[in-house]
Order: sequence, then structure tokens, then C-alpha cells
Amino acid sequence: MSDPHGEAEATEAVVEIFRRLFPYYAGPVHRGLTADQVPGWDSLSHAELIMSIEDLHGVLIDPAAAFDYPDLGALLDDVQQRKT
Amino acid sequence: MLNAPAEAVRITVARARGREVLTAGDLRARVRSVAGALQRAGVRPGDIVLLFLSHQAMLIPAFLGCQWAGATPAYMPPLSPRQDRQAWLKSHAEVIAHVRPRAVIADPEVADLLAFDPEIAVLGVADLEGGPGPEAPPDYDPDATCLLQHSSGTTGLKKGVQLSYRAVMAQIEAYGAALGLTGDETVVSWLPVYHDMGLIACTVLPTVKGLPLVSMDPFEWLVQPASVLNEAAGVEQALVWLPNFAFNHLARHARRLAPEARLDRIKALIDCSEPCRPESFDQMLMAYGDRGLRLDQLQTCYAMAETVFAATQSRLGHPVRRWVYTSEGAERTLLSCGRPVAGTAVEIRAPDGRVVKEGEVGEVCLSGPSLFDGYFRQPVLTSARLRSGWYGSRDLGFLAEGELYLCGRMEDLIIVAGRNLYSHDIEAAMAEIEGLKPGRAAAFGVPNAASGTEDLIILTETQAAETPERLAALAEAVRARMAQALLVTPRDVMVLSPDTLIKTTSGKTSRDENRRRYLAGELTSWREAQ
Repeated sequence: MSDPHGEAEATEAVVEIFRRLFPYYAGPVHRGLTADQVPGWDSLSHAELIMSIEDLHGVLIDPAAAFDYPDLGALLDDVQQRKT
Repeated sequence: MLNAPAEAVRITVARARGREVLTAGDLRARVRSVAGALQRAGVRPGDIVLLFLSHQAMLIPAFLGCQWAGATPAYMPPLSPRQDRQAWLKSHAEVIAHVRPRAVIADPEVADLLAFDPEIAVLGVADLEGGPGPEAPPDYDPDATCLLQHSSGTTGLKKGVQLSYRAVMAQIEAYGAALGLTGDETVVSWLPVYHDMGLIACTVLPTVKGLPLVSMDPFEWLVQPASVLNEAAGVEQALVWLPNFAFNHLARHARRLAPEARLDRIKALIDCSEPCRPESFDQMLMAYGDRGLRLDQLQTCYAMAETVFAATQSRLGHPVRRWVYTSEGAERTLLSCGRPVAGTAVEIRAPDGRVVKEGEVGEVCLSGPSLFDGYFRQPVLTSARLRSGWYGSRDLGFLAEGELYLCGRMEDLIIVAGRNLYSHDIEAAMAEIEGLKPGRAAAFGVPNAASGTEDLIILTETQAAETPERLAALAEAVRARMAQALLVTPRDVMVLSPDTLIKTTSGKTSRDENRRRYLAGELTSWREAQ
């Protein structure tokens, strides 16, 4: 992915998931988002995010690595790799 | 015997990337090698050893090895994924200074951080394996300290609950009887071991009673919630302890249960450590009823470290009783927490200490052979909570037909996904944020029916009128501070104009009144002001 600053918008479906899971976050959903920027993004809601994105793309993420993504973009990149 | 694992125990360490089975022989060999390594590091009987270990095959042997060496172990929270290393160290520095352990056993990610005091030996898992060790543990002394369990409090000095072998043994026998253990059960757990439910019910109980244990990684469970039921479905008479939010998490993801999994043979899924909610049980039945789950398999327990673990337990094999409780005109259905386990006495007391009648609400007070010896090196706090052999839990409840029902708390405790957070700790943690008015904050919990736990809400005030951009930045600073200092993510942070929060007559911020205004939508944050 050519987005060195992580500012690219996430896809519409990912934004929809994000808005559902984090209703108190009103800012832009971009690839560089991290947990400390989003109200309510704790371990449990991170797990919900992972499972929602798994369902969206029909892939399974390695549970042992599910908490290692530094930002949203890294998660989406991993999903993309697993799809291809 | 408590300081040595039972002959029949068998631990399966289940991880997404593989499984490892420790037979009783494997376990004993590891326990001995740990004890030997500790002795060579200078650990002597009575010394304290803190264990900062993530989920792994050495997690339980390291604990038992401390006891085999005559030392007192205390599991501590390891570094979490995404957690800042320095923030993690800071969160434990006060406990380490207070406890003065002779050694720590730590994951490699943090071992270097802990090597700051030459008086404290730092051992990694690699240091514990394969060496010679003592043939037997020291003579069993029931009055010796079996373990320390640190509260899951937030900032400040976490309370070290000091438990004797006598108290732990009394609990294991009484609780085993309450569960009707036959020896055919298997404990299945994803719970962290630094919490009483993970430690006592899911580590000490199976290792003492010789029950097989399937031990899963807490973080892997979060993203694969049905995995705990898949494991439970694959064994006979599974016993699974869960905080209430886990029931909701499981119910939401029922379709991830393995197609062949049947839940009929599970002995009990026991709700504990958070207020037990009937809606959570109903959701579980809706989600898994067609897989064989029955209401009589869903059970409750009232437990705390100060009584080692369980004070009461619902009756296995029978649906948990429900009671419609009316307070200030509002009706709530409560789940019974069951009857006291053998030897434990439960009294409900009024503020003046008088024991109230059945059905009347008061503080739940507990006595019995499983009571703790005190908070480690905190005599003032100990005498405030432990009086004449009775422990005042600060929980509010009542007895009805011999069963305990909980309906509130005496202090501002917020339980988020099984983790205890105190309002005053959260408010104090914001004191260092520049631009916020010191002492003007209110932190409280709001029930979240969807997640089955509480959400943390923080209200705070600025020093002066600020622009919307600056208010947004302050809200972000609060969230960052919470994540760094307390490892918690508030659901909502409202940064308010000066003098917005209601104060009590004594000048303190009123949590109750500000909570009411928040829930009524009477407060305007920077978001709405934009």
C-alpha cells in the first residue's frame, strides 16, 4: 500500500464497521488511526473490529497476531494479503 | 497437598499456533527445576517472588515452583499487547518497592526493565528450565503465606491480599464440595492468572484436586470467543468460569462455534467477578440453545480475593433463581449468587453494624476459614476492612430464602470487563494534564447492555474557556493518559467549560449528580459545541 503517512480513507464498508463499533468517534476513519485516538477502542472492541473485518472479507486473522497491528492500515494490509 | 501438584493433574496449554501437554510428571519436573533455579538465585523460604509472565507452558510451573522452594508467589499482569513498556513498569513500580521481592520471573520483553535493583534477582523462563531442584517442598506449614494476590485496582498501591495455606486449602475443599466435584471434571479457562478467578478456580483448584486443565490465551480468546466452548465441548464435564461480559461476547459470536460442537456435557459455565445479569444468560440460551445448552448449566458465584475466592455458589444442576428487586420505584431482576460455601458465614449489616433482617439491603459481610490474613504490609487498611474476623466487602446486597443477591456497591467502583477501576484513581490520573482544572472531574460507570459490562465515562472541566479544537485536544489527552496510566479506554470523555460540574456541599465533585445529568443529556461537550 502506498500510503506512507496513513492518511488514506478506509473503504466504505470498513468505515461503516468503525462507526458501528465506535459511535463516540466522529473523526475521519483513515489508515493511520490507532487505538489511543479513538474512544472505546479497548481490547474487547478491538476483537470485535477484527472479527467484523474477518467477516467482511471472508478471511481469518492469526489470533496470535491480532493485537500486534500498530494501526488500522496494518490490519487492513494483513487482511488484503490473506485474501490474495 | 497445596504446595505440590496432585498426581493426576494434566495441563493442556492451548494456543492458536499449537498445543502443549504437561503431564503430572512433566509438571513436577518443571516445578522442581524452577525451585532449584530460584534457590540458586538466592531465594529462601518466606521470600516473595513476583511473576510477570504471559500465557505459556511455564506459567503454572513457575508459580508452583516458587511454593516448592518455600517462597511466596504473586502473579502480576504481564506486558499487554500494544502497551507501552515504560508505562507498564510505572504501573508496577510502587508494588515492587512495597513488596520488596527477592526475585522476579519475567517475560524477555520486560526482563531488562525489571533489572533496576541488585537486591532483586531477575529470572527469565530460560533460566528456569532443566536444572536440578529439591526432591520435595518444605514441610507443609498451614500458617505460612501461600500466595499474594494483588487487587486489580488502578493507580496507587495495589492491595496485596495475603492468603495462608490454611485459608486456601479451606477454600479448595469447601468450593470443591459446592461444585460437587467427582474428579471427572475438566477445567477450561482463558482467564488471566493474576485475577482470583483465573488463579484460584482455574489454576489452584485443578492442580490441587488433580483435574485436567485446558489453559487458553486471554487475548487469543477475545478474537476467537467460541474457542472456549469448542474446548469445553470436547471434554467431559467441563467447568468454565467467566466474567459477565464474556457471556455477551460468546452470545454475539455463536455462529463461530464449531459445527460439530455440542454443549450438553458441560457441567457449568459460572458467571463471576462482575454483576451477573439475567439478560446475559438469556442471550446465551438464545444463541446456543440449539447446541444443547440448558439454563441449569449457567451458574453464578460471588467471589473475591479476600475470601480466597468463592463466598457463595449457586446450586449446580438447577437454574439460578431470579428475584425482582424494587428500588426507588424501579424494578430490576437480579440473579441469585447462591448460598454460602461450607464454613463461610454471610451477614448483611446496616451502616451501624446491626445485622439486618432477611430481604433488607445492607453491606455484605463475610467470615470463615478462607478469610485472608490482611493486606500485605498495610495494617491500617487491613484493620479498616477486617474486623473481629469479619470482612466488610463494600458490596450491597440482601439474603432471600438463604440465597445472596447483590444490588449495588458502597463505593465508586467501576467494573469494566472484569477489571476493577476506582473513580478516585481515574480522576487522580488526570491531575497532570495541563489545561484541565485540578480536582474537577467525575469518572463513573454506565451499564452497557450489549457488552454485558460497564462503560467508563469521564467528565472533566477546563481551567479557562477554550476553542473547540483545544477541547478536542484535551479530550484526546485524557484518553491517552487513561491508556498509558490505567490501560483503559473510556467510552466517552466530555471536556466541559469551567464550573459546569455539580459540586457537593463540601465542595467535591458529585459523581452521582453529574452522572444523572450526563445520562439525561444535560451536558454539552466540545463535540456538540462544534
